[in-house]
Amino acid sequence: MAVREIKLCLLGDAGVGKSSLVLRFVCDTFNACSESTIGASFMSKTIEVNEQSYKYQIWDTAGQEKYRGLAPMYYRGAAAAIVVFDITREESFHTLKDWVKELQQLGPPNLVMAIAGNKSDLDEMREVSSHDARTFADSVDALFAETSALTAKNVLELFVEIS
Amino acid sequence: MATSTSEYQHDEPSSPALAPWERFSRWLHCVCIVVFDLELGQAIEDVYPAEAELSTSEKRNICYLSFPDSNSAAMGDTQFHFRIRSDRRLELDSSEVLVDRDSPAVLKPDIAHYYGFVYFRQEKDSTSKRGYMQKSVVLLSRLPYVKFFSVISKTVAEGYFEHGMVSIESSCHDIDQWRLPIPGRTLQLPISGKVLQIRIPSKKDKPGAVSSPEVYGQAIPAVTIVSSVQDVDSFSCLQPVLPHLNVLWELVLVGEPIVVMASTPDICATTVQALINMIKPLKYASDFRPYFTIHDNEFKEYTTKTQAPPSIILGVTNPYFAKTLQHWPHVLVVDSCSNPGLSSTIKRTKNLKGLTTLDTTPGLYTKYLPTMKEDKFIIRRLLKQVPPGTRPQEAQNAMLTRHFLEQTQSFIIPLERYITTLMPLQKNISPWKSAPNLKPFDVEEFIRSLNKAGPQLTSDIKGNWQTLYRKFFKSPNFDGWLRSRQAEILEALQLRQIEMMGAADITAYIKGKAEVEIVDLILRLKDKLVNIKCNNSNVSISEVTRHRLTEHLIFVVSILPPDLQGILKNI
Amino acid sequence: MATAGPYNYSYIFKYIIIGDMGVGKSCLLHQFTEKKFMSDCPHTIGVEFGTRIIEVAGQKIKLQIWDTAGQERFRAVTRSYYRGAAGALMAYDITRRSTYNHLSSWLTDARNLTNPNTVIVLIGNKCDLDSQRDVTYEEAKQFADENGLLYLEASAKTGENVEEAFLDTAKKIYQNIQDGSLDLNAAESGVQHKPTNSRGTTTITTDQPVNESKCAC
Repeated sequence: MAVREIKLCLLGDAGVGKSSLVLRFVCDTFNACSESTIGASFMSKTIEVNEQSYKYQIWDTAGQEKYRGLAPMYYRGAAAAIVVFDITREESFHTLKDWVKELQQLGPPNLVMAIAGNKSDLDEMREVSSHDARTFADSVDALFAETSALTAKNVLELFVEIS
Repeated sequence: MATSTSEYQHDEPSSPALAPWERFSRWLHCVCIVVFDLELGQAIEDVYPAEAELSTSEKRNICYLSFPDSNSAAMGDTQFHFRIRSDRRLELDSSEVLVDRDSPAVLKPDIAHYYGFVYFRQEKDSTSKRGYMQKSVVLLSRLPYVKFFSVISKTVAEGYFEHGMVSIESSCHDIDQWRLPIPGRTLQLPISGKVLQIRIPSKKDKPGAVSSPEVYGQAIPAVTIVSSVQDVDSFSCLQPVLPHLNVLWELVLVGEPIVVMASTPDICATTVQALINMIKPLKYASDFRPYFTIHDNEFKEYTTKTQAPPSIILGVTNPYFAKTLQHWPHVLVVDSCSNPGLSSTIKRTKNLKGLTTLDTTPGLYTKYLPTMKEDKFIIRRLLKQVPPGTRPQEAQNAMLTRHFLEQTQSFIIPLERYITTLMPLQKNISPWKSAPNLKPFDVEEFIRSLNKAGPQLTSDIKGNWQTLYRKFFKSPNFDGWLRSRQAEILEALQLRQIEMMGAADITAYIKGKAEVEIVDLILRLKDKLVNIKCNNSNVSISEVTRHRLTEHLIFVVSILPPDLQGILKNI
Repeated sequence: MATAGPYNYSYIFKYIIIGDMGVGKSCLLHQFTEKKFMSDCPHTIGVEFGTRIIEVAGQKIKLQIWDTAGQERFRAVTRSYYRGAAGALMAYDITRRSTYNHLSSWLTDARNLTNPNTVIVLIGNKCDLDSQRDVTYEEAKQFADENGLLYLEASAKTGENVEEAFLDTAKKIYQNIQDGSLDLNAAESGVQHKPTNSRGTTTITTDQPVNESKCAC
């Protein structure tokens, strides 16, 4: 059976939970105090959807400002990008819009974009409404999901939808 | 959704949690950024990881070897490699011993040297007083993976020139996640947004087997496949001297001093590597410097005229060497790889007198009388396709590599056959005695065996094989080969003896033995068990044998007087 | 795994090293088996073993050296150490008189617990520390002569006379075998002759490489 290899990168502000989403997807675990990423970290995982195997090469980029310039190395040649924001921090949603703009201008032409509003388990601290996020996602032709790396909500679904 | 598998990087079962930089250090020692500074000259600007140790003399060597040696106005990027002595010898830990053991001789980590993989960039820079930026990114490693690291060094350097140190930090972090280079493994190595796939060759591979990695399922476009860890573009480099390939093979095989002169470090380094590769699977046992400068620490030692040139291969580009090394017996002048038309015009020169500058025509300058005749067939086959470029470079390379691999194999087979006759007979191995030694290698006895079983059986080239072997026996290459074969055979014999010890009838053996002998046996058994335990890479000792030896030990202690039992339990 | 060739030997000699705590027994052993000085040596608990194959008069002899604990509280269990010893190396520290004063008690043990032919050697260790000397050579020499002991001053640190101490003992034992004063068939002679095998070739082989030591230091 043929394996389809999918290069995927995660972008977004520091601390929005990109690495936690990846960890949840790849290992199905959660680490409450994970260290911040240097440059980018790489993981891979194979899943089977409708009798087709997909191997994800996941580049989880660092959110810190000093690594920002490196991002093109990771989205270059990528089939999909997941841009993540934290629903409890409005600022992270603004950063997300910048990322989306950069991807539209400089990213690969057929890039599948997905927007993830993470930390959906912290609904009481919410600063970004689902409606606003979804409207934005639709306007840029991106998939959208609210996820929680902590409770695993929607994480797998998001990755599967991308394939 | 039916199944899902994930790979994350902690995959070595024996050492689940490696310390930070431990994985990295198995691949690389460090990355150096070397600049040409107007005031300081060559200087190391940065080293990553910062804690990587480099001695003053290592640093000085790295500085000089990271730039082209002769004036070159060429813009753009150049890649080459060098090799320097390391002041600190590599100490293999138990898992590295495993890598070392299964690795082909030519790919073993170099415990006494570093390889430097240089990516040099020269470009106009209006902000610099000099008007130019001249900078090199250098990867230092113990692994002679020349081809592989040229790919890595390009990736790392391009990232650096675009994004600066933060990119080096990120690349090194990627490398620190890599799986260890265990022979026989096909690895997918993520770096700077790319995934490279490489297969680490193993000693157990069939000779001449294609080393390119097997592809899982169908081709994976998102993965860059590096087809070989060490092979270089031999054909391009050796093309100017195609008619002399067999002489070159002989010179390398018998360890004659060779200097390679080229106009640029990349051609020079690739050519030296191509020469070394000619005698694969034999390991070139002497020193070799793909790129050597007049500032090198060993410059005086290697260029002195007061003694015969050492049995080494030097690659140089500085015209100064044409004079300094004039007394060297074999000088190979190669020129730009991009000049294929030259090949047919070259004649071998027997007179070195005229060689004073590097403008000399490409060729092999030597008075050496070859022992073997030229193999016209391979040369014709290689040349046939050259002018129109009908055959791709890779195919030419593969043909060349394969040819010399087979030729070297033909040369080694009789040696291998002979060494098996030096093995002790099975019946002379006793469970209670140490494994008997090999008989010494007897040159005359070997030469006599050639009539019946010489290389003429498997090789088409004609000439005096006996003389060639006699020259080879005087070379470091022979010593290196013999020592490693002896060590391998002895180890196998010891394993056999330990297994026999485990299977033997201990009750019968100790019957009537005195106390002092029983204690001696206990010490021997303990020693074996400690050895097995320390050497956990030694997979060939079965669990059954280990268990039996432990049982032997417990039994032997139990028959001693009680006071001794108490003492011996604790040692 | 080190490459171990065959080491044929004709005899195994059992040695013991005795003497007060801290006189350098383990260091003497280590110097002899490893040719190295251990500057930082933990106390021996119970017993440690060292082995080395030497040659005397063309014969290969394997020395099995028992390095005993010097502390008083271990004295009670040392009886089994002495049993079957062919040689006893009795060490003191030339810079500490007390270790010399205790020699007669060690000698009594050695005499009582070994057989009459056991070769006893007196070693004055730490002779590199001459400036701190507390026992003269002459005094110890006289004690050795009176008691029929071989005597040397040695230094485990510099290696001086260490080789000699072990080898001279072996020569003396070998001499005793040759002139018949040591009966190999007697139990507890501490010497094991490896008889020739049925096809007439000599000796047995073992697989202890030279310089192998069991010293845990």
